[in-house]
Amino acid sequence: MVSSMSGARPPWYPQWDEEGPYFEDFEVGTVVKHWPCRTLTEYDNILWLSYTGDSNPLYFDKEYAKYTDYQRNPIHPLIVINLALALTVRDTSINSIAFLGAEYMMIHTPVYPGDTICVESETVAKRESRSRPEAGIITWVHRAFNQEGRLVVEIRRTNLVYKREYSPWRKLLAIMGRRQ
Amino acid sequence: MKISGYPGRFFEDFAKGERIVHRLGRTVTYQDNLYFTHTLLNTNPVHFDKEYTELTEFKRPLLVMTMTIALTYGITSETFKNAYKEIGIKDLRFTAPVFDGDTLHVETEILDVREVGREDSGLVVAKHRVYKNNFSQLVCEFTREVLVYKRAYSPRWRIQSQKDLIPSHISSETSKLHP
Repeated sequence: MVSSMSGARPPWYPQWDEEGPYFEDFEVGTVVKHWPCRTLTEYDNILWLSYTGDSNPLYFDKEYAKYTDYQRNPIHPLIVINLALALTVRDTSINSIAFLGAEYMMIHTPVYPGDTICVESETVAKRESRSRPEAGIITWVHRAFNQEGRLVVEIRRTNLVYKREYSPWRKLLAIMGRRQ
Repeated sequence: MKISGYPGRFFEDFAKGERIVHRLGRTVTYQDNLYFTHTLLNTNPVHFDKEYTELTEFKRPLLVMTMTIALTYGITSETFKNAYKEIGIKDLRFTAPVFDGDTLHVETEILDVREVGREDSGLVVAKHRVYKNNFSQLVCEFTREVLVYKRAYSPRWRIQSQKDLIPSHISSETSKLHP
């Protein structure tokens, strides 16, 4: 590992450390509880509006939202989906070639400003790539929960993940004259 | 006479089999991609480390594909402005990378329109296909399931400042639902 921690590690410490996992590190059945979690706020909805221009008033018109079942502006569900994926990257896809696809991304519970989202990932499938010796294919199920422990979003996605020996990061370290 | 600004489609405005080319396109930049990665704590250097990406097969940063999905919702939101509840996404496939300066356009095929036993809304199943470079290359496609308000049940008609637009038939129907 690139930045190896000295001393004994507790049993819950991820073996891939800061470098992140490669294809070899995934085992079907392992569940990772990602850290950090993140609180979503009204400001996220406004930022989202400025990034995407999504014009559904449900997410930015307080008067309109009052008269819906939600009664106030929920967080845009695409923010929650994107957050659920983003928080997993460090321990799932950081050493990936590509995000290939997702069988589903389901929204189970609305999220409101002030709610805090934590994510867990389970490795559910692992196989070699038929066309690429440098990588393999991993499928995860990501589950995002709010502070009450209710499932808000569930995603099943598949990535093309580097094997350690083909890591561009390790190549970069070698070019920069840094040792692993 | 007063008329409304473009209100978007309601449930009854969608027809199964229809294809919609959305009016808004979007040129994406490296900077857009930074917002989408960092604001949500995405830590993959393939999106923001050019020395690292020099060593990958594309030789430049891959713009984050969740941004492509997010922008698809933005681009199609004029049509789906009256979405009441997003159910989810199915069968998502990425078919080509997106780079700095690419322009995205979206075409939507309406796969299904049906009642789900709700008075105020119904289900629309849409296939969004996202293309870059003048519709020459498909970058992503997915099926979106969403509940969309029926016209008479739009929360808009309950807002005091909007009431002078309400046609009388809508007014009587909404007052049934929201006394």
